[in-house]
Amino acid sequence: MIGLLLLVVGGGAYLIASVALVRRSERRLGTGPDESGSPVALGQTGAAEISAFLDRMAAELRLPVADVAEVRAELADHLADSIASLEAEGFDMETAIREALGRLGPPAELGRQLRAAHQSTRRLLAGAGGGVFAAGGGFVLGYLGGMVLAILGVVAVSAVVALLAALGIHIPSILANDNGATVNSLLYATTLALAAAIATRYAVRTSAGLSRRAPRTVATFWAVAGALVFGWLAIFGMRGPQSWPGVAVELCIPVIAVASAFVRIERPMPHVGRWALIVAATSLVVLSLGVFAISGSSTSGSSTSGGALPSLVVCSEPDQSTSCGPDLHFDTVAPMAPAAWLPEGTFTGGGWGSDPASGGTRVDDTIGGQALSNWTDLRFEAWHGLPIDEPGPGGIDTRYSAPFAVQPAVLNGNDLTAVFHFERLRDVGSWCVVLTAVGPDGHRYRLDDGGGGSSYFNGSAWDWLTAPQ
Amino acid sequence: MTRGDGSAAVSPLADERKRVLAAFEDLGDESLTGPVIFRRTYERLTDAEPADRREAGTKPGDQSLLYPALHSLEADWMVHASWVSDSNGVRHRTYRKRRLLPQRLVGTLRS
Repeated sequence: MIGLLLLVVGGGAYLIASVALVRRSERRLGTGPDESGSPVALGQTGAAEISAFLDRMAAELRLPVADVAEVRAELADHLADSIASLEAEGFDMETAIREALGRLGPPAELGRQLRAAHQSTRRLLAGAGGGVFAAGGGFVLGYLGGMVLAILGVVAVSAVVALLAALGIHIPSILANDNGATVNSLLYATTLALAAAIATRYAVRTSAGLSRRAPRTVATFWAVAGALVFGWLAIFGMRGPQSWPGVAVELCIPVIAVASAFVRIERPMPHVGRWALIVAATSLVVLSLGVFAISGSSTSGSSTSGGALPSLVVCSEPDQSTSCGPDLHFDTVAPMAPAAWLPEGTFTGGGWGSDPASGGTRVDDTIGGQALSNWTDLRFEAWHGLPIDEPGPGGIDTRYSAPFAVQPAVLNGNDLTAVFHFERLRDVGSWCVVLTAVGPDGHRYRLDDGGGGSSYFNGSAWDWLTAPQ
Repeated sequence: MTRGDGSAAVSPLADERKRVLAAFEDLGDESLTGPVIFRRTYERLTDAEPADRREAGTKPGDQSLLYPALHSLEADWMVHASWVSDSNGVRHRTYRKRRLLPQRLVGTLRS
């Protein structure tokens, strides 16, 4: 609980500090303070000459807008003072203007010197550090904002679906086919994309303001950094349910980071006001409490479902040649082993569950005192199954003629075990695991009809792209 | 408009920074505008011995490095700049030397 409190307080303070930093930088990148107005009041001829001088000087400045305005105003004020002093010494107006401008040196050189003075190494380092700090805050704000938008979107879609249903128009559920993986992955990916875009933009604007550089001059650095960091996070770092639409968005995130660093980067950021911060902080608290509650009630993040260690389908038929109960189409896999080679009671139990070491699905069969000397090449075969969450007996999906995964059965004590990584395979859905082996006649037989379950992909976008079908 | 002949001033901007900082001596927390700072440095230079003036390598009236020096001092947190209005409502940018301790406190400690 103390950790949660620290997270909320620290996270809130961090958000407020980063937004304050961004706003400070925004002021520098904005149109400049009120005091930037020119205080010069000269005749038309003098004003034109001074204005041309200041324009040539400003062309070399390449500073944020507010700095350019300040420098112009300050030099105009200086020139007004200088011209007045020279006129007091007896110079005529035109000579005084020329002398005053000449004392400041060539305007282009003055602009370059002033730019070098403003863009010091110290300010560059401050800009880099401030950019990273602001990017962190922007990422959190963008992520929270994306989640709020996602929740609002889900609510809106649900309302539309309910309305259509009330009108008698039924839309097929997009959650039924893949346990919601498509929708979830799409929401995760768009949320991450929004967070990456805001973070990169925050970094560019903040570092430009702090280092006194035009946003476009620092945008290249942040575009590359954003593409690398957020691209890595999207493609390799974020793990969870995946789908082709979600992966497509995740692959676009490096491009989104680059675009957000350049596209209309001179435009000010939307103002993040008090209410936005309050909503963000509240979201942070609610989400933290939610994560805390979920982590407290669940010890496993496995994407496999189907019940914990269900009993194997034990066959009581004397000849063991047919499946017990309804036909689960196990003969699609291989014929059952003859009783002469596999006496009843050879297997006394078994099941499947999550493998804590690898995160995969561990299947096992317990041998009850009978030797398996007749059998070679023992292996577990994973076959596509009929949907277990739909009405019907389930069993093997007969549209497939081969297993989608095979693992050798390893003997550990009295248990034959194997670990499958269904969570790294695309579109597995329901599955059945069957123990098979090659008998004395050289043919493969079923030794035991294992359990079944359903699994959905759980990994990074890169895992999805490189996963076997 | 160049500053000096190059033999005496290896880094003219560094020299100008020193002169500008020297202009703030004996001022306490008073803020000065750019033209006032320039006049103070110019007066100090004309008060100096001719040999020192040659060493400074400055041409009288040259202000080309005044604002680069002021702005680089501001970037290095050695002076603080702010805009103030005069009695006519015209705003001027003023500079004041940053100090580790307030001048009043330093005076109290010295006394």
